[in-house]
Amino acid sequence: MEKVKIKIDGKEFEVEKGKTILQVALENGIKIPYFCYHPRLSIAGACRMCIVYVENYKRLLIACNTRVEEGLEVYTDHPLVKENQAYILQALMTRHPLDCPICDKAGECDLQNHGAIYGPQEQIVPISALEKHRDYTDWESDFLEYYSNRCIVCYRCTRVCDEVIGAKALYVDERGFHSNIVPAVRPIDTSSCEMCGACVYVCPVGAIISKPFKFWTRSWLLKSVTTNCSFCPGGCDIRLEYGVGDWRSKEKVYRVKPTDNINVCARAFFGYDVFNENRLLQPEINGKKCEKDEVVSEIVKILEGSKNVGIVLSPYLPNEVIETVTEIGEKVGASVTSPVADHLFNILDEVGDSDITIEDFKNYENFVIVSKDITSLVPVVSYYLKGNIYRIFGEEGARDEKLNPINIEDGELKNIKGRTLIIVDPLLDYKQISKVIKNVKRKKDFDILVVPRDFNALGLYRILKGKNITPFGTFTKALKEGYFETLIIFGEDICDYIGEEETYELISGIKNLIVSSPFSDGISERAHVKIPMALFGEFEGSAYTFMGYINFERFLPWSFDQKILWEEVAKNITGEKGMTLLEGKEDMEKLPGVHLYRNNWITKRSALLGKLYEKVCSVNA
Amino acid sequence: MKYLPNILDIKAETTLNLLLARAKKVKTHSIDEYIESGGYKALKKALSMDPKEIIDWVDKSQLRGRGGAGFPTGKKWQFAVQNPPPRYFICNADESEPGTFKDRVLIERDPHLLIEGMIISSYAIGAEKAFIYIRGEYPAGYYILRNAIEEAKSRGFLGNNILGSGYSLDIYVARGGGAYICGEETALIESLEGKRGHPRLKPPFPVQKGLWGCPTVVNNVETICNIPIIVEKGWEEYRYIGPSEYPGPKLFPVSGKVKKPGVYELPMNTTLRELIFKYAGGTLGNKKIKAILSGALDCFSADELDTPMDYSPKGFGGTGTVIVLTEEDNIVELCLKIAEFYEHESCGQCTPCRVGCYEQHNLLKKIIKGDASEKDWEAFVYINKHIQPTSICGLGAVAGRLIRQAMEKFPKEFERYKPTVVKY
Ligand SMILES: Cc1cc2nc3c(=O)[nH]c(=O)nc-3n(C[C@H](O)[C@H](O)[C@H](O)COP(=O)(O)O)c2cc1C
Ligand code: SF4
Ligand code: SF4
Ligand code: SF4
Ligand code: SF4
Ligand code: FES
Repeated sequence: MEKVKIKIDGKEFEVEKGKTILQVALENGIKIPYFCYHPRLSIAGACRMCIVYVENYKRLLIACNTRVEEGLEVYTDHPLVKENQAYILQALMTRHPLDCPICDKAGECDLQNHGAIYGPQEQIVPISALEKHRDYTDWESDFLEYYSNRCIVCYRCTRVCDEVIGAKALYVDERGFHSNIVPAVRPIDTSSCEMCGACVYVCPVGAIISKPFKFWTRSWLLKSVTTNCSFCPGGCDIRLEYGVGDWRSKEKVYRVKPTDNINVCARAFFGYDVFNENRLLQPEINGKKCEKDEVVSEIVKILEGSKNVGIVLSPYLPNEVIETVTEIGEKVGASVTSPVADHLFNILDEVGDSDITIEDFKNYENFVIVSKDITSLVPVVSYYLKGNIYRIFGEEGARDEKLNPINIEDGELKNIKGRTLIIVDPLLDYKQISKVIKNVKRKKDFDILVVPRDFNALGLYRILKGKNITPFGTFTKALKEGYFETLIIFGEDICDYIGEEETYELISGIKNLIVSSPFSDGISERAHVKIPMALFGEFEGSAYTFMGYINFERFLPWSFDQKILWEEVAKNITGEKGMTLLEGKEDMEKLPGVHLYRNNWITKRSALLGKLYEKVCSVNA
Repeated sequence: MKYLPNILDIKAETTLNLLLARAKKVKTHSIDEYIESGGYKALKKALSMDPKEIIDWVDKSQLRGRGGAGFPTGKKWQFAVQNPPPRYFICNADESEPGTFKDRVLIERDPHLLIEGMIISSYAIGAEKAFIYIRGEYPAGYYILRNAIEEAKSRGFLGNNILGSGYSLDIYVARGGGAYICGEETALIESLEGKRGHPRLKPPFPVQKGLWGCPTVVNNVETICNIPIIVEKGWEEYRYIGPSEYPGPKLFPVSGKVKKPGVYELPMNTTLRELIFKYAGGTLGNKKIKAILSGALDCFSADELDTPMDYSPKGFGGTGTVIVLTEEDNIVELCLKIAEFYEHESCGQCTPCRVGCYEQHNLLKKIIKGDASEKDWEAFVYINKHIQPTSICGLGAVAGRLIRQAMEKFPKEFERYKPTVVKY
């Protein structure tokens, strides 16, 4: 890589040619304030806050759009820079309401932060508070709210929506001072907008805010940790923000937002309310709360005393718990299954398991999507395709690339030239797609990526591969016939696949029902032993996602450590019986539907997502 | 002939009989009339020449862009052909500057001169598609151009294999939606692409990455109309028109308080005084001149009447637009109009101009109403000064300029609005 020597504020740097001054500054801890720049977005160059003085040209240039060249001499503290940055802040604040006490963005607002440091620190244009308003456009939504008078017109929201999410749900109305961010469809709802919240996150001020979060707390009263979402295999890196449980904020999750990588969807952004409602946070035996040790010995006692043990593993568990529980199953001779064990495992057995991540997408020229609704399976995969791929490949400066999907019949696959990724939805009729897959497997330029619906389904597959796993259809048949004396169920996947009522019916005759669930109602209401199951931020462990192999940490102080519990159970049980494989080849009767907002048993519980879902239903009707 | 709309009776006079040779008559000249008076001869000559040679001629002719910036046209073309095809040629007919109506006269009365110029220019830079972006408020021009293109096609001057040369060209006409900013070449390109008329960040320049990311030349109507003249006469002879440093004919739209407003075609060694008194008949009622505006760009005082109408640093520059104000006129109120214009036309993309133009207008309104405090005055001067240094495009760069010049040149007029009595 070619290097050039440049000077910033008199200090010399050797940097990669082609980088912008702002990138170099950010990498080297040199402070240049900015509003419209964002690492995931195209350069807008609109706010003009990032100006620097370039000695070589003897003029002000914007750092975000000026590429470094040999011998460039840059000053970030030239008097002209200071003077004009102060002017820009004055301009932005002249009609800005400065209603920080009731603004959700306060504490993490770029206008506040830069204003304090770079602003004129006095009011130069005398405008009274009464004149501080701009034309107002109501977005008419229960989820997103736009305050035009706070908007600094930086186009981050429209760019993120166009370029990252690919929804193109926002545009700029009017011109000049009256420029206003307006949704393509009003009320802004799920007919145009993904409700991913990316625009809320990138807005440098409090102009677009999340209504469900509004007025609940202040940003600086929350603890914020970076982790990954476990609502689907996307594994998006997100920030989880929770209260500390004293006078400042309650012990609960207040919001989830993306990181600067902007991988996010509505499930994480608005579905965080599942963290706070009907949670099972402590183990219970026969309805009585108890400590870990009690529950461990109870489970050991039950397992060692039962004849036929069944275990339903959940793809929402981290690898380590799956491994431990598998070990337990092997020790006590249990029959082990999971609702994804039929269709998903079959397809993966057939096409092979791949560790392609979203990052790898840029190595492909074509994408063939074998799915009815890739967005609802793993939203980020489709956002990457819609928004990002064409920016990676697109020539710099070319703003016009569009995704032009074509419909092809499977016979035409052979006409596709170049590196191609076939993205397969395992919830389609298996027989239908296996033909396509067989054709594809023979081509050397083609790779296949199976996109499961459930979080760590890939981890589950990799751990259970080659083991005596009972097909789910066979397992439920045995369950119906009253075969099991003891049943351990993780999560409520089973309800997703065979229905809630049907599940309750099936498990009603079980003598010892041990349920591990994040929630205190539903299946766990029917259990003799209840053990909390963790959502993200509540468990330590790893998982295979489309962001790669991810290590999760346990942050939320009130959460229960499920890992230790199962490890202790495993430690205290003896035996080498090996798994019991039930005979039979029953396939699952039906496959679950997928939906962006109510994709699985976890997100189905979110009242907020439920409201979005109703919107969709009413739009469709 | 198809129905053609009526055109405006604007006076057009010429001493040179080049650009306005036909357009001095108030009528739309048909292709037959154009050919009869020697039209499309230059095209035939051009097609027999090497495109490189044409660029070389245009460069040597020292033709400068008439769209306002005065950039050497030959240089622009040379830059463009350094970049690989496809290339595009665009005629900027968005003429929206206050007081400017020179392109309109050419478009409405002598459309084939423009078309011929466009064909030669496109041939020279190797463009096979060319576009005319005409302002929405020129409906007549739009239909006239559409008609002229059909006429040219029917005679084999446009379309496939022009005059058997093997060169093909299509010209499309697009209409603006009423935004001055869409005359700025990169905003124009965005608008042509179907997007919001926002000027692009430069570099890259249109000659590098213009329409749909391809090298593109944008030229003004009047610039393009000079091309057939250069090709026909040869660059040496063209250089003898007018002063040697600034050769070629120039159109000057004159309006305001003059006896004979209109478009004048003159050499560039004409002075402002000559233009107003010798050609435009002097001021109405022989009143004393107070100021001369160059569109919405510059403000000249009566002391500066000897300014030459050329592109020298001290010259009149710009598009050549002359608006004459006399002693009866109120400079401050005029500045209010200018401030209003920039507030209305700022595209809103960048902070300094979006907010600056708005506040400049507001504060000036307050000043004229007599409501302005000391602080308002300070703020007004502050805003006016700061719109330029950080704005993206040429509009922001000049949005405070005329008003600042007026404040410097007519301080007394502004003094009158200053608060003398402290209000309690
Ligand atoms: C705000 C603004 C408005 C402009 N409007 C026009 C216009 O209406 N017509 C025009 O020919 N050039 C206009 N220009 C200049 C063009 O950007 C460009 O320089 C010109 O079309 C180039 O042609 P030329 O080289 O032939 O002059 C404008 C520039 C700015 C900054
Ligand atoms: S929520 Fe997402 S899809 Fe909706 S407008 Fe914002 S960025 Fe676009
Ligand atoms: S709403 Fe926010 S992100 Fe969008 S333009 Fe306004 S300030 Fe920028
Ligand atoms: S795409 Fe998947 S991983 Fe990413 S935020 Fe949405 S549910 Fe979570
Ligand atoms: S200077 Fe004014 S017109 Fe030009 S891009 Fe900025 S806001 Fe738009
Ligand atoms: S960050 Fe560079 S102009 Fe906004």
